[in-house]
Amino acid sequence: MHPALHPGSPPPADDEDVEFLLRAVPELAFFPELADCVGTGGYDGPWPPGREAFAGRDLADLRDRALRGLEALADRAERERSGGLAFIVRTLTYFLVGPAALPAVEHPLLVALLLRGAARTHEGADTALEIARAMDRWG
Amino acid sequence: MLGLRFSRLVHAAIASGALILGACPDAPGDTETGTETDTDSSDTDTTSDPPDPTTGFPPPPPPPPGDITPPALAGVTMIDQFTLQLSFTEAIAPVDTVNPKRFRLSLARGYFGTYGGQPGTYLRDPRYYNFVEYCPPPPPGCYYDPQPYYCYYGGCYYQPSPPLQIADVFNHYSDATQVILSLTAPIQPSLCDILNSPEDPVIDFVLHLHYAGGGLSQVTDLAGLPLAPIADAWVKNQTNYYNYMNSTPFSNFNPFLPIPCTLF
Repeated sequence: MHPALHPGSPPPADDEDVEFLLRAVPELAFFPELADCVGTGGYDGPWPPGREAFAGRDLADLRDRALRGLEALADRAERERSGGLAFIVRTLTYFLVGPAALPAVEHPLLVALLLRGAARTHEGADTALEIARAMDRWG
Repeated sequence: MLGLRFSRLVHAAIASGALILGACPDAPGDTETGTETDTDSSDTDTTSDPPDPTTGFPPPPPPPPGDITPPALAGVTMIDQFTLQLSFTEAIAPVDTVNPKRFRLSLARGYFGTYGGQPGTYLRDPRYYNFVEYCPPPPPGCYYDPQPYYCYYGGCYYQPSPPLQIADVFNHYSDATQVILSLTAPIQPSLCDILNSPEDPVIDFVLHLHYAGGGLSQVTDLAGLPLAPIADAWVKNQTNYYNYMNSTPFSNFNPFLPIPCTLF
């Protein structure tokens, strides 16, 4: 598990800590609270897919499910006294709903979840490391 | 690039005050509602509780006439990062057969209710405050252009230590009133930083030793009189969290013997 997501992890203290935490998104996408957000099918092209593969799709349902998953992760952060997890959950929620909401293909967690769904048809791709690589190539 | 774009947005939100850094997981006024019998039922450690080290044994033999005062723990000190020394009010019988799992350390946080909410004592596993530095090798396959963002861990970081448990129990080689406990992992400066932080009238952190008595092979004096339990719910539950609510901080510890850190 990414060290910033451990139980008892401290909240970020400075910009460097924030950067470290933001890089935990690929691993966060594998938390069980987000399992319902990983779609099936919908992409059968080469790995890894880029943003154009999902452009124009209605992803409102994914956004709703991700919000519920983040609420469950906020409970976990409180339960486990994880300041790092609490911060990343709060940040991703801030950019998921409300006036600061980003398009789905610009939101790192939604992108990670889309990639996990696409990875199901590519053997060995549904790992945090492969999702991280794919996010770096997302564009 | 997705990661860098999002990073800029997050830093801008922090700078504007829309996002705050501190998670305040242990802020005053914490509204946990647990009780002495209400520990966190969703704790991940509860699926394989170890057997209670104090059950299943017949009661100890009655003490011989003469000594009617049981031993008491008078103090606990850190000798080094791996060793605690227990001082008792009288000589202690050999502890060779005492199960080290009768002892357990907690990082106890006392909240005095100053900012509302219930006063109480919150016990936490000290390993989550006992950080060790770890410098992992970079993951394979992360060397490409443009420079990776997500496929990168970068440098060293601190993570919770391995479990901070009692590994073994020894009698002191020359002083029968002293008992030595060795630890499974070293005490780190981060834990001492919490213990040695400036005194706060609202919240206080202490490192405390807990002990479960009863049964055979417990700590006794030379007459066989047993050491009384010390806030033993923490030993018997083996969860990562435990709360004593609606009580003066540390009042459930009898005796209350904070372990000072003098190592760093």
